[in-house]
Amino acid sequence: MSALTFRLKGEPDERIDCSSLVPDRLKSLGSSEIEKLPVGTTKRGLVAGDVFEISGDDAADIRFEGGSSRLDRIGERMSEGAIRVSGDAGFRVGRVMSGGDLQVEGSVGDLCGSGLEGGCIRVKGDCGAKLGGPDAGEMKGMSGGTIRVHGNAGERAGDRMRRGTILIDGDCGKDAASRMIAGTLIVGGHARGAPGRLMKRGTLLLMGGAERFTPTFVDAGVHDLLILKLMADGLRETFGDVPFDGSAMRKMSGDTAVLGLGEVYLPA
Amino acid sequence: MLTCLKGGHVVDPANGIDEVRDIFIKDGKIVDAPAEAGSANETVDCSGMVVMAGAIDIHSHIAGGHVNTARLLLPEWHRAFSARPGETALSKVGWTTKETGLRYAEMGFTTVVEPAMGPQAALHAHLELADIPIIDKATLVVLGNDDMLMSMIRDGESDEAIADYVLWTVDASKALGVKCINAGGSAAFKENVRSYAFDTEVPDYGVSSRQILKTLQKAVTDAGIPHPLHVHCNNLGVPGASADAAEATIRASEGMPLHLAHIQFYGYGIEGRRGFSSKGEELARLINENPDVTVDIGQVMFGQTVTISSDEMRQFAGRAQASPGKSIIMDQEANGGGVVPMNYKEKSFFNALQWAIGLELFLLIEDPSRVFFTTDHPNGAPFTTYPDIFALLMDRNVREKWIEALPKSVKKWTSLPEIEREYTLAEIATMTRAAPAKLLGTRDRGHLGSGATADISVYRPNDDKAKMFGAAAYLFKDGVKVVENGAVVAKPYGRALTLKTHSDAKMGSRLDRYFDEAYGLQSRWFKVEGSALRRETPFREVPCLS
Amino acid sequence: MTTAWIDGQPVSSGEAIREAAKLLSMSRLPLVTGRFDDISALREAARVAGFSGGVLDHSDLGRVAPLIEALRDNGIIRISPGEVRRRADRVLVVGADPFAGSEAVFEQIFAVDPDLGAKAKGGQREIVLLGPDEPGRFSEVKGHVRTVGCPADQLGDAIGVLRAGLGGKPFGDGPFEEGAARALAGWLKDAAFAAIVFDATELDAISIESVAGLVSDLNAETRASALPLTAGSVYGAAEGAIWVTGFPLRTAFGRGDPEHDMMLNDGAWLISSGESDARIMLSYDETALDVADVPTILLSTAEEPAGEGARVIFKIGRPGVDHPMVHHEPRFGSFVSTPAEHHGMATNAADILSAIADQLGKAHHSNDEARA
Ligand SMILES: [Zn+2]
Repeated sequence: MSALTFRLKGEPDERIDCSSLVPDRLKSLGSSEIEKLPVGTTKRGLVAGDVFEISGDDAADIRFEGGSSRLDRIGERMSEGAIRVSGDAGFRVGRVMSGGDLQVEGSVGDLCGSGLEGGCIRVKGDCGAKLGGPDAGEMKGMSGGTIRVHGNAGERAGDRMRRGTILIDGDCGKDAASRMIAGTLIVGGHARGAPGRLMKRGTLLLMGGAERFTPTFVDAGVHDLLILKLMADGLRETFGDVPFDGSAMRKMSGDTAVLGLGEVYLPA
Repeated sequence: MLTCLKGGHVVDPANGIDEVRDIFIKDGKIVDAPAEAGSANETVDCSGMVVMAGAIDIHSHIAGGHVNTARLLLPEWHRAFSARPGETALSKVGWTTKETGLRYAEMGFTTVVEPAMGPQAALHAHLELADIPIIDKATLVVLGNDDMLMSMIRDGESDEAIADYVLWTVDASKALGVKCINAGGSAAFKENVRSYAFDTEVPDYGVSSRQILKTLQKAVTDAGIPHPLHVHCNNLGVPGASADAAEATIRASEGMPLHLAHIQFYGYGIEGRRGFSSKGEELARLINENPDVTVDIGQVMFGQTVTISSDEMRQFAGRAQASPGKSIIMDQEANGGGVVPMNYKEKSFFNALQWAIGLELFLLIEDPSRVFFTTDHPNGAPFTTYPDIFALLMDRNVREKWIEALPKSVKKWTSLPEIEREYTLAEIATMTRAAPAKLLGTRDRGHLGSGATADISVYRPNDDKAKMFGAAAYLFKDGVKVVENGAVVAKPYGRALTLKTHSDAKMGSRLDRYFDEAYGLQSRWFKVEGSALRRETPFREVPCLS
Repeated sequence: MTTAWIDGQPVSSGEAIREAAKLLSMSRLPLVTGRFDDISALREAARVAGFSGGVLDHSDLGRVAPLIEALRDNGIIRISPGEVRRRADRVLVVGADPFAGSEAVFEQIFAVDPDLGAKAKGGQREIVLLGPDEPGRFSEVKGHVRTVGCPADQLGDAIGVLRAGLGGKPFGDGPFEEGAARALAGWLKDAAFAAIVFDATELDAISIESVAGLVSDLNAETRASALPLTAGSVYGAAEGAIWVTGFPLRTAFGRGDPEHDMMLNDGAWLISSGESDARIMLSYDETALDVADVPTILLSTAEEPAGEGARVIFKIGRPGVDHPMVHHEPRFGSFVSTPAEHHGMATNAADILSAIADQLGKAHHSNDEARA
């Protein structure tokens, strides 16, 4: 068995909906059926075979070769297996995924890991806005699993996050962890805007500090907490390396405009 | 062009017909059989099928500001929401104007009444109705929390003046009738009143809910508006207080016609350790004893839905149970309202008992011409659940199966398992065709007699009544075949049925001044111009009772 | 008089309609956009988008996108201006000048004292301006006006502080000092009916959600309601699109059923990215537009319609001036119809769009939506 591979024939001139190209769906289909799966988003009605050169047969190991920022919804709702993208990907990568492993070598668009329930997403490049966040109108963002972005993240990473862990090695855009309900978000670099706006609970570690905090975050002093050490150890197991080691950090509590039980840790 | 629907089992209780016979259509109307047999240009073989008039829904929130707000609030439930494959909650619902028309037509419905049009949302509601294909529509305009009416009552103005005001509003808004929603409740809520009942006075006005209701009932009756005042009572959904409100309102009908909406939501007692019990039997008895009262049910069915109501006080209180936890509440001139999503769960004692109470009322109210088939769409359930409800009413075995799935504790609190009644086809036709047409005063429909509008639904009999009523074999709208085998084949636009009336010029100039001085609004804004709707025939007028 | 052109050459409107339909049907993903002041035009534009497999947008939608996001993510308790006029004894006005562009609403609310409500009537309205140092347009209104300075980019913070103050929770140095914040929160709580007015096009979605949260918190014990202002026609267009398509614009019909996405279906993005390869646009601009980027059908009110590089041009009348219009009236909080100011020969954009939709519909869905 060799990896089921979707090699992009050329840069697509429309958004491509890859939500059907997941292990769960493809494991029961033959190659001719896979070729006929609709992936286009315009009235042209493009099918997988129009957009991709398809080879291989192991649906538990799916590859996208030659990425594009127009390849949307890769790994959506996948619950098992692995998907690897050797290039960029578009919006909603790994949305509402519940298991399995998803890796993108390049950068991805908005709503990566949106509503993630389980499994693991790794992005080597940057990601767009609302990493792990809810789609329009949804009441919860990520509720489980892990996301790691090696580059920078866009605005409002971890919006309405409820559980799970996000690790961003680079900087993050405005207002990370907005409306956070619970879970853990770690930023290796600098957090722009005012992180944690309207967060109820949850934990934020901002190793490069933040541009500012709203007045409804209150300084709770420097803490040398065992929990930080345990957290660092635990995360190292998941991610390998993490940008903090559990040494003493300054704690901010907020957002007191709402429940106010969120914790933000900054270098002491 | 003469069309013959041949050999169907015609169920037309309005004309006392329940037998196999042919129906003839010409120029959009039903006509007598031609003298010469076989002279029809087109014959549709209906042998073995059931032929009824097109169904009429007297209470379904399908258009207007609040309905549109619900669409805005809940993008994640749209069938084609970009990031949602397959089924989503409410995915079968007519969420857009177009889908509303298609889904109703597929079930054999040809007339639907939007029952809660605020005077200010009249043009908005009619714009939406104009975009709903196939079916005919009508609206009830909401009064009873407006400063004008309450001030007129407080100031002791004459019955004539009040009737003029009511008729001006009906005429301006192009309504078919009048609805009163928690009379005075919204106005009281603006004064931060959180508990309100039939004999509570609205602060600052000193008029009670009872006074408002009785005044409107008299005005509607005196004006000859065929549809009796359509009442949404106080304390909807509140255990104990809801049943009290319904009883007080029924007793206050006092020999004049009154229609009580979604009565299921008032059938709640306070017995048991959960403080929630059925008042279905008592309420049904009370309705059976009061012939001037008609009711619709507002059946609850399980699943995700959204409540849309101009009862602002109730919707504000309901925010606590919102699921998902978001809502939009509106303070507006007169009623205002609110949109609160709701998830009725089969495994919830409360929701399961609500479901049972609705069916108790359906089955214990004896006269099928005084009880109407509604879910208060989408408040009790989306209208797409109708086929299942037909099955529940017509088939005791289906009921048994549903009851089996409920929490055991529910059975103790409902008489439903003991009720043996099964609705007959003729009773269904009465409840959904003949009686609604009579209640609304739309004599051209609801029956298959000569001269009637050729709105005709044809069903393929099936032991599974949900299958039978879920997909009409044929539907004819104004004599045009619009549905075949449950699928829409043509999408002509219907029209809005409006009351043929006129408004008093003196009242007109008084209201010109009033809206300007009181609210800084122009009275012409309340008036719906047919030309604004961009349809060749936007309206069809229904005469007043003489 | 010529009212239609193809490649700059005068043609009959029938020819132009056929050419427009052809261009749209050949396009991969046409963009249907512009400023839909007249809801009639919006309703027909939605049909054009549907039949051509295009995307429906409004050139100003970005201005109300934060409000739409806050409404559907969080909800709100909101009020109509007429009710603020009669009932609100205390009004918190958020921002430097939220009534800019909403002057009629300003006049409607503040020209009189409140006259409804046992506690509110007979008294004068109290108004707090959160933002400006000077009362500006409020210097002439009835009632007591007081300013509380706050930089524009800290308005969301200020609302958060009021919420924390109301809830008796701690907060740090913000736009105003602690005592003043708690006093202002108490002032709102003690109102007979408090209204919080803001320009929804000036606040981000989280700040609007904060206002909604403050109002919700206040209603635990008292009455309060929010009035978001959105000058211009775009909110009405979004309302209209919701009933026709289920969504507040930025809706694609490439796959038939409506698909909504605030980012991916943003018209400006679709053109600049090349994902849309044709456009039909409704413009009330008097100046010439540069639309040479993609083949364009331009419906223009300009005296001499000139779209730099437009493939097909229709000269159209001005809604509410040359022909009647249906529009969202903010004072009314709903739709109204306005007659033409004069009777002329000018074409209604809705009729052009309707004819194009019919032409497209004929080709694709023979029995669909016969216009009865
Ligand atoms: Zn209702």
